[in-house]
Amino acid sequence: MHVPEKKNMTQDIDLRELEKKAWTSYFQDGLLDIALGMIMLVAVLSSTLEAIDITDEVRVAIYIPLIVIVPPVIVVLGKRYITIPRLGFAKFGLHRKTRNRIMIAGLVSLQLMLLAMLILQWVYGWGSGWLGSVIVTLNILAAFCLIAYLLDYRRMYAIGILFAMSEPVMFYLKNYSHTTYAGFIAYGIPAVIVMVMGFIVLQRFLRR
Amino acid sequence: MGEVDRIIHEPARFAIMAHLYVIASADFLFLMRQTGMTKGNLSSHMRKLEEAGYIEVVKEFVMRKPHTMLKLTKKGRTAFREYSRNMKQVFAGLPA
Repeated sequence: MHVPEKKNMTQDIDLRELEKKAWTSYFQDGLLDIALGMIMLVAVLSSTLEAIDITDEVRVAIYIPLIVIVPPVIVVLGKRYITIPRLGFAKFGLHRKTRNRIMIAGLVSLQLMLLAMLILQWVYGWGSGWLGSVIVTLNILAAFCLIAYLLDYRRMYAIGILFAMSEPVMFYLKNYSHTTYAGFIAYGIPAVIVMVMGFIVLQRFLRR
Repeated sequence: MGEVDRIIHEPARFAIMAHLYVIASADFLFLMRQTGMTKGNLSSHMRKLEEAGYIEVVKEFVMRKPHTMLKLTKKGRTAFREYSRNMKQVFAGLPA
């Protein structure tokens, strides 16, 4: 893709807006929102399995494939059979590729930081309790803000806040209220909100 | 002042060129949706731009359906930049 000349400001702004509009049109289908809602629903399922005393190994064997397979399949098939036949197909330039690469590098770094914290927690007991919850919350928030900013996907900020809030809510419910519905409340509510939002956007997209 | 390129100067063709200037390549449907043009309108402007050598049109079959991809050529990119520069000169010369 052509990188606009710095001195050509008026043209830059307009062409950037044009490119941004074309790029963000791909997110008007709500599929990513639905897929993210699905991930949260899997978290609900996992906490439900934990509540009925299913072992960690079995839980992991159930929810990891669900997280790894179902949301990407929804996005890929949805784009192929819903979005592209209605919106068309475009290949974006170097500018978007660079932003996507930065996003992936940023997300991998954040995941590594989280992994390091989990190892420290496991080996030395450091970062357990509320501190761990705060770190996880900030990590989720940072990841979603990074995605929202680099993809120019504004709804992602709201989704990030909803998902990040689920962690302290879960911590509070588990440790202070001792309710058996902690997972349903902490993960289920944001999951339902995000999925409903996604389906509304998808319905609007289909009507157009 | 440089000469204004009449091929790009037409609003519909300018819209096609501007989109292809910022996107690496796009198919017919995508351009139709983004520019708000009808099939026939886009098709005729596409042909004019192709004849001028400003865009490259690749027709292929994807899952047994015809699929048309459009891309700006080097000549088209240069012409668009030139056009933009010339238009700026025109307005820069306007008395206050």
